[in-house]
Amino acid sequence: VTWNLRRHRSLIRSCLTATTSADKGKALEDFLEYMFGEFGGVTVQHRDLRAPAQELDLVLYNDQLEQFFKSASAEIIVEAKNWATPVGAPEVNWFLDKMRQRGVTHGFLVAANGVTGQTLDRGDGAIDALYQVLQYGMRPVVLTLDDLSAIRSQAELLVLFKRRSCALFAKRLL
Amino acid sequence: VRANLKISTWGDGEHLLREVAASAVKRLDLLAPPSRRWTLGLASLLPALADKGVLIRVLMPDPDYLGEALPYGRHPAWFPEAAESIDDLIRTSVPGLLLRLHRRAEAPFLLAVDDREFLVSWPAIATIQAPILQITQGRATRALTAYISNLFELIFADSAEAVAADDSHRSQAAFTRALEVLERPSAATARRGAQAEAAALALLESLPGFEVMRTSPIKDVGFDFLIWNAEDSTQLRTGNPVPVQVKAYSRRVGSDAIKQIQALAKRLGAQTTLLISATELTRAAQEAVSAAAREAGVAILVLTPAGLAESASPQAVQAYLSKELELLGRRSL
Repeated sequence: VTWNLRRHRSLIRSCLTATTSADKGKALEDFLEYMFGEFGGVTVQHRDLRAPAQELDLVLYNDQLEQFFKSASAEIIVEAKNWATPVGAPEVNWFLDKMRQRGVTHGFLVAANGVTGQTLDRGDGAIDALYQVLQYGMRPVVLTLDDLSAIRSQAELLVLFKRRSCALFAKRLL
Repeated sequence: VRANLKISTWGDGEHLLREVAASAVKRLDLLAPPSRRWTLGLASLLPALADKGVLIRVLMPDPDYLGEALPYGRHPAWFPEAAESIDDLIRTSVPGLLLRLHRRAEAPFLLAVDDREFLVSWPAIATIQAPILQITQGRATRALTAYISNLFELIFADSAEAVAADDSHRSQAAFTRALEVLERPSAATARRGAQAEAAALALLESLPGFEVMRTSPIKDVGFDFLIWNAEDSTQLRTGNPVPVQVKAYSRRVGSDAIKQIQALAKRLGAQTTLLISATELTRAAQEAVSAAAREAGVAILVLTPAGLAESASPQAVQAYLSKELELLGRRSL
């Protein structure tokens, strides 16, 4: 394991300081490629994969070694949204469609500022779309840059993934 | 024994441990402070050092104190092999010696090693902590090394086995208490539910590899707890997370309750759910459990007083659940 906190933070800083849309997107993908690729048993298979009718930011191959990943599907897709605003239901639904089309049960949506629609405010937002797909055995995990900035080790990352996964069972993001 | 003593509370410990891993050091004594970063550093790196044949000794505060100082100090999620506490982590992964500082009101710390105890006052601890923060300075390291060695006498017989026995006893005691409550719940209806939930929580926390992830918020959607089964890919393949419902009825659990659990599980796409009940299931409810596996592909694992009576330890409960899961799997074929 070569995961390094300084590198982790430096890549997050790049996500926050990028100015153009292209740079922001690239910075977040760089960060996620590093973050996921450093887990034992997880390999970044593709980046910016252009499949028919869809583009996938990252495709991970999972050997199911680490705690969270033991329960996850062999293929995991990662969507990166380095947006200044929360990601809305249409984009979340598109991400969930990609998961469905590839037949993967586990996917990460990393949205710099989260997704819209907390159940507490009765919003009809992205959280509802995420909750609905649980019934099909899908386990989407939503992460924000704030979440990832607070991380200090890979063990904390694994706990974060588990917590986010469980939160959705209670129709919550946190 | 005092050779190669290195002490640090600075940083997350990774730097120090990597340095040791890359060197020829074969013996390492650590003073582990109550910091989350350090806990995580230990969790990720000590096993690798132990594999390289480095004998590691850890001097650390009592886990109860750790629990106060850091919210996740006792959280099994931090540790490999689902250890219940950092004690377990060190004991299971490091063939070394664990020294512990116990906290006491009148004398804040008590260093206990084998049958010897040393009272340590706050000023002494404060004196230790100040220079530790300057670990990067060689002079402070040397001064601290000398100070610690004199104060704590870091030459002791191996007490790892005694610590293991003590912890195992505590875990077993918590498990037994939980079983007693579940098997003989309070007659007062108002208290039954709360008591059963507390006992179920204690029971779940005692099971190896089971981590309780959520309690109250999950009630909104019909379950009492959510657990994460770290052993998911081995003998107890449940999928994750696993919703848990606790029933403290005075009568037997009927088929309606099982059908309700099945519906909730389907809504969440849960492969497996766990029902912990203070009473047995009716025959119709037992049939509903089989039908849920056979017709809906939902495995409802049931722990009742009868099942628990067969299980003398947390490991036995886990074996019982594995057997039940296997039986449900066969019925669903």
